[in-house]
Amino acid sequence: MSLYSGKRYGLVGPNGAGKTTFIKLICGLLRPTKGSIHVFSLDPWKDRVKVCRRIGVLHEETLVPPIEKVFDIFMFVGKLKGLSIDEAKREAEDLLDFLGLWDKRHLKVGTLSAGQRRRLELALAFMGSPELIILDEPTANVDPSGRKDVMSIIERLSREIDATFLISTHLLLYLEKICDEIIFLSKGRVLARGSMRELISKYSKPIIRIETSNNAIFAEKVRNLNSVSHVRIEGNTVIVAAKSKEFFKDIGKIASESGLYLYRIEPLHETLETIYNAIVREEK
Amino acid sequence: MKKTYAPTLLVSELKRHVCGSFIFIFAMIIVLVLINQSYLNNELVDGVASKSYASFIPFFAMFAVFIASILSVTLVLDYERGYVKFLLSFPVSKYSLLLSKIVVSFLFSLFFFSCFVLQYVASFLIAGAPLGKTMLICILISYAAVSVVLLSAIGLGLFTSVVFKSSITSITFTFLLLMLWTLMPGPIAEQVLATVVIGEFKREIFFGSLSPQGFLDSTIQYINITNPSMWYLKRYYFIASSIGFLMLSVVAIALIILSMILFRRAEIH
Repeated sequence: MSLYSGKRYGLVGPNGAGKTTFIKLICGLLRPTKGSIHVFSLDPWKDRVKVCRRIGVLHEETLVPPIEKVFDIFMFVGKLKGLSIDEAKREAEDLLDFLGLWDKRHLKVGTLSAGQRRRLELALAFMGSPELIILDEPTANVDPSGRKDVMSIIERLSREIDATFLISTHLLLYLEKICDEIIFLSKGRVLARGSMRELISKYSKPIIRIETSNNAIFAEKVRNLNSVSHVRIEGNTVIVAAKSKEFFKDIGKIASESGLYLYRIEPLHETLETIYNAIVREEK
Repeated sequence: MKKTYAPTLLVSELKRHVCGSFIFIFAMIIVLVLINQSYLNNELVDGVASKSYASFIPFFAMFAVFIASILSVTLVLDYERGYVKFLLSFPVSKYSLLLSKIVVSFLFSLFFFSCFVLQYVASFLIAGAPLGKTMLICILISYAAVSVVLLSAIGLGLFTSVVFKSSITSITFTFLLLMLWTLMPGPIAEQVLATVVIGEFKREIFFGSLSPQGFLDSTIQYINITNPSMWYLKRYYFIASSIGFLMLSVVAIALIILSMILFRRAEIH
């Protein structure tokens, strides 16, 4: 698997798929048992310090020491990342302001809420202008409204910052918006990868909402087609799950043979979640 | 962009220990100083400063050894709390992380030891006992000896931390090994390490001389013997302290290097 600079990648997969392991391998915290991994042409296990100078990482767990003050931790991390005191101060001020934590700068990390702590850790990952930003479950332990905030911040930052992003999350709806490419992992293997458009064309089966002059008769006729896998009536429409795109040819034929008017043919929007389910089903 | 982060790491580690354990250590120092003061006054009635120093200071070296080990074994607590992972997510090498732990544990325990040295010096000065050159050499040699002992204790704490990676197991093993080392039980302490034969003078060097108290005792005794007629005893203590210095240095260096190698190879989960 190769990741190219400047792109935004989403890492998706069931629990235990190997997403966090993959991230730890990139950060040089784990040594590969098989194969090899290169980040910026360096072996992260052997050259972890060099690799870490160029990456910013947010781990799944909250790791910031709770006894430190918010601003102090920024200065500390800034110095570790090789920034001068002035640079660290400037970046800390900008990031705290951007993340709405400026008022909390003199508080101890332990007194922050889970959402605020996550935003703080997120900000630390962005310190020192890293070339690769890795976010592992950025919304872990955060309530639903906090999740929305965190993902919106990531969305904004990913548009404003010129870096490569690797985001692992179960919030597929946000990945759709943020990422250029999605990578599906399962049991340590890449099941599928590509842009949303590529994944849709490869894995999705058309689901269409159709409104006719007699939905009951239309549903009955459509059910017998080989190109259809599922039919149901929903309100004054018929929802058809097609097996292939051949189905579109059959609709007109059925309507004209049965003397029905077609009022509406509307393809339903495919989501990453439906594609994810399709890939998981295929894997099983 | 600057690339030196070692001082930052060291200062941060110092700060963490000041916040975490300084109050405890300081309270311990005050209590021990107060208890020790009464003994010290009695000892000085007809004692010479350096001899009084020699008979009491090894006991405090033992306390310093415990402090050094406890501070270094906090590495495993840092690992469990995720602080090690937090630091290693930034451009921080594993060696610098361990070195900062070693330096801070060493400085803290040496500070603890220094408080008692200062107490002795102050008490002797107040009591009007002449300190002299011998006392000065005694202090210097006790610092050299205690440094070796402290480094061994730090090595032990780090080694159990990186081997077991579990706070309960690491702390238990460290304490057990420390108890064995400092309060060496008779059957071990009485094992003969070497026999010194100087003319008609023949005396064994026991395993007990490798304990912190035993080692400090022999090094200070060597300085304290100034009577020329007892040159053979001076030589005996010199050999005993040299063996102790050599063996404890090797143990300290071996434990620290082994810890570094194991930590370098350790995966961080």
